[in-house]
Amino acid sequence: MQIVSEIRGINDPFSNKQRITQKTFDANQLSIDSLSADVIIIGTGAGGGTSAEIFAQAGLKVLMIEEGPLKSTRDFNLNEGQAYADLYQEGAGRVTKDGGIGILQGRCVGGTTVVNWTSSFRTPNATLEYWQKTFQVKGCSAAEMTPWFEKMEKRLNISPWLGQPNENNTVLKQGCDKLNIPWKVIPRNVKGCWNLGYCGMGCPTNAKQSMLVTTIPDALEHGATLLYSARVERLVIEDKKVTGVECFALDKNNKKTANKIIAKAPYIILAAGGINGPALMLRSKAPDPQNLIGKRTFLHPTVFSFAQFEHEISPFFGAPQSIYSDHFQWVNGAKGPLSYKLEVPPLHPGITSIMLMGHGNGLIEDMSKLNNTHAMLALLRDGFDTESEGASITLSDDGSPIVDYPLNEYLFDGIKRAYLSMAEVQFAAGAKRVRPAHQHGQWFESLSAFKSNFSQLEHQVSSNLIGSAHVMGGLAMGENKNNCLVDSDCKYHYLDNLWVFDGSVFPTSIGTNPQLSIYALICKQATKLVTALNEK
Amino acid sequence: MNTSRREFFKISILGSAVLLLGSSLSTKILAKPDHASLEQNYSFMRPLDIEFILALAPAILSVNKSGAFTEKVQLQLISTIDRQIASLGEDSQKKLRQLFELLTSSSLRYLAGAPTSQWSTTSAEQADSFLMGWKTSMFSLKRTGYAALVKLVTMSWYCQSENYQQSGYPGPPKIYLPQE
Repeated sequence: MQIVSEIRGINDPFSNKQRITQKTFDANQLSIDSLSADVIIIGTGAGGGTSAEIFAQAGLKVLMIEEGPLKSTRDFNLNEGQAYADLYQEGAGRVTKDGGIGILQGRCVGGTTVVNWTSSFRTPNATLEYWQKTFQVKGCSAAEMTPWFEKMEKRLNISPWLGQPNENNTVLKQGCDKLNIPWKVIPRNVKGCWNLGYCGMGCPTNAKQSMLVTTIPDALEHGATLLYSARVERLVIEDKKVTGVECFALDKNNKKTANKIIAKAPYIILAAGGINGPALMLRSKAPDPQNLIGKRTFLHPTVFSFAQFEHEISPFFGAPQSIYSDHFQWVNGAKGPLSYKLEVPPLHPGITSIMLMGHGNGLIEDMSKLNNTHAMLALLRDGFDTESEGASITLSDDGSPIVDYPLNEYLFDGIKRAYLSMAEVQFAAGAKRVRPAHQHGQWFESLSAFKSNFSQLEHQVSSNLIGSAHVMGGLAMGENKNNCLVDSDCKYHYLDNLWVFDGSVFPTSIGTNPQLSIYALICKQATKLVTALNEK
Repeated sequence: MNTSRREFFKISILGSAVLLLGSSLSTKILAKPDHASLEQNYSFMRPLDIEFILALAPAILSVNKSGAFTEKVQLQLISTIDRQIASLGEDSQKKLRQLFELLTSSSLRYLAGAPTSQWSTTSAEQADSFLMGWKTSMFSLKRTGYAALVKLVTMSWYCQSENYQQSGYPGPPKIYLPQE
C-alpha cells in the first residue's frame, strides 16, 4: 500500500470565499434572538442532512440547528486528540451509566457521518421483516426499500471498495478463507478516496461523502440556513403541537451561554440521533402515555480481539474497513442467542492505548508493537431477543442524557462466543499471539492454549472492552402504540407537527453499520412528507 | 472479617462519603501542594489533582521521573489531560471531580485503598499497587475508576506527536492548505 506523506491543495467547501458559508451562523455571534422557517431540522447527521437537502430542493425555507461546531476540511489536521475533542459527543468520552460501554458518536455539523468509517450497508432483510412482524412497521419491506437504497447509494457514491484491503482487513479475509468462512467487500461512501485511514478524524480530502460535503452544502445552495453551536434545550409544546424550539448558544468550550434563541416553524424535524433526541423529548415533557421515550436504545455492543503478526500491519493506515463477514450474524434467524458481524477497527495510538486496557510495562510493550498489531471486532446485534432490551435514557440534574445499559448474561454469552470466533480467524490468518481486549486478557500463543484458558476470564462490568459506534432506537417506529412512538412515516404519534428523522426510530438495532439504513429510510420519509406538503 | 467483607464495608463508607461530600468538598481541607510551579490556569485540574496524576503516571507509562519524564514533559501531559477532561460532558466532569477529591483527600483516600502518604512522595511501586488493587477489585466502582484514570493518562500520552515513535506510528500525512 502506498503511504501518502503529504496532502496539498484541497479546497474547503466552507471556506470564507464560498457563497454557502454566508448561510451559516455561529449561534454565539447571532445578533437576533428569534428565527423562523418553514421547516426546522434539529441535528445535521445522516437523517438531518438527508432531509435538509430534500426539503430545500422542494423550495421550503429550511433552518438546520446543530449543537456541535462547524468544522470542515481545513480543520481536519488528523491529530487524534484534537479530533475527539472537536468532533465527538463528550470528547469521545461518552459512556453508559456504569461505565460498561464507551460510545463514539459524532457531534459537529454533519454529525457522525463526518467521523464514521464509511461502511455503507443496506438494512438486512431479516431486520426489516422482524420490524413488520413485531412492530407493525408499514411500507418498509425489502422490495419497498430497494429504490431508496439505490437512490442514496447513487447520491453518496456508495459502492464496494475497489482498492486492495489494508493489512488489517487482509487478516480477516485470509483467516476466513483458511476456515472456509464467507467474507465480502464492504461498500463505502467515498469519491476519489486517498486510502489514508483517517475517516474517524474528519476526511482531509473531501473524499468521504459525508453530509458535510454533500447534502448540507446542497441544502444551503437551495436557500437553507445553518445555525451551529446551538443546543436545543426544549421543544415548546402546546395543544399537541411544537410551537417553538428553544436553543442556547454554546461558547468555544461547548459551555452553555445565556444567549437564548427561539426558532419557530410549522413543521419540526427531530434528527438529533439516538440518546440526544430522546433526552430532548424528555426535557420537553413530550406526551408519552406508555412511558416509552428513550427505552430500547440499542448500541451494537462491540468487543475486540488483538493479534500480533510477524509482518507489518500498519493498522493506522489505509481504508479502515473494507472486509466483513456475516457468517455468525444470522445463524439462528433474527432471535435467539446474541450473534455478531465481524469487521476490523483502525488502530491509531491514542485509542489503541485505551483499547489495550492496562497500564505499566505490559501496556508499554504492547504499544511498542502497534505496527505489527491487528485488531478484529465483533458487532453484537442487540434488540431482537426478549433478553436484549438495550438501554434506557434518563436525565441527569443538568438535563444531559444518562444511558443506562445493564450488561446481562445474555450479552456476556455472546461476547464469549465472539472472542472465540475472532481468535480462530486470527490464528488461521497466521497470528503469532492473540489477546482478547479484556482487563485481564493475556496473550495466547495458540488456539488450543486460548481455548483451554480463556474460559477462566471473568466477564463483568468494566472488565471487557465494550464499545459502540452505532446508537439506534429510543423513539421506535411502528403502528403498534404499545411499543412505538412514531408511525411508519416517522411522525410522532402524539404530536401533529413533529417527525423524527434519524436512527432513533429503529425498533431494534440494524445488525450492520447503520448509516445507509438511516439515509434510505429518511430519504423515503422526507420525500413522502414533501409531496404531502406540496399537495396542501 | 474476611477480606471481601472488609472491602465491602470500606466501599460502602466510600460511597456515602462521595455522596455526602459530592463536589462540594472544600479546598480548605486539602493540603497545600509541593509543586508551586505546577499551578497554572487549568480548566479542571487543581494542584492536588496534578500531584495525584504525576504520582500515577510513572506507574501507568513506565517512565522514570529522574529520566525522560522531565518537568516539561510532565507539564505537557497535565495540560493535555486537562484539555481532554474539558471536552467531556458536564456529568462526566462532575464524576471525575468526585473521584479526584476522594483520592486526593488526606482523610478519605485510605478508605479507597490508596497510599496514606502524600501523592507527591508516593513511589511508582506504591502507585502500581494502588492501581492493581482497583483493577482487580470485586467492585465495579473501583474497576471503572481504574479504567477512567488509566484511559486519561494513556490517551493523552499517546496522542502527543512527541510520543508517536514509542508506538512505531509514523504520524499522519502533512497537510498544506491552499491559499484562501
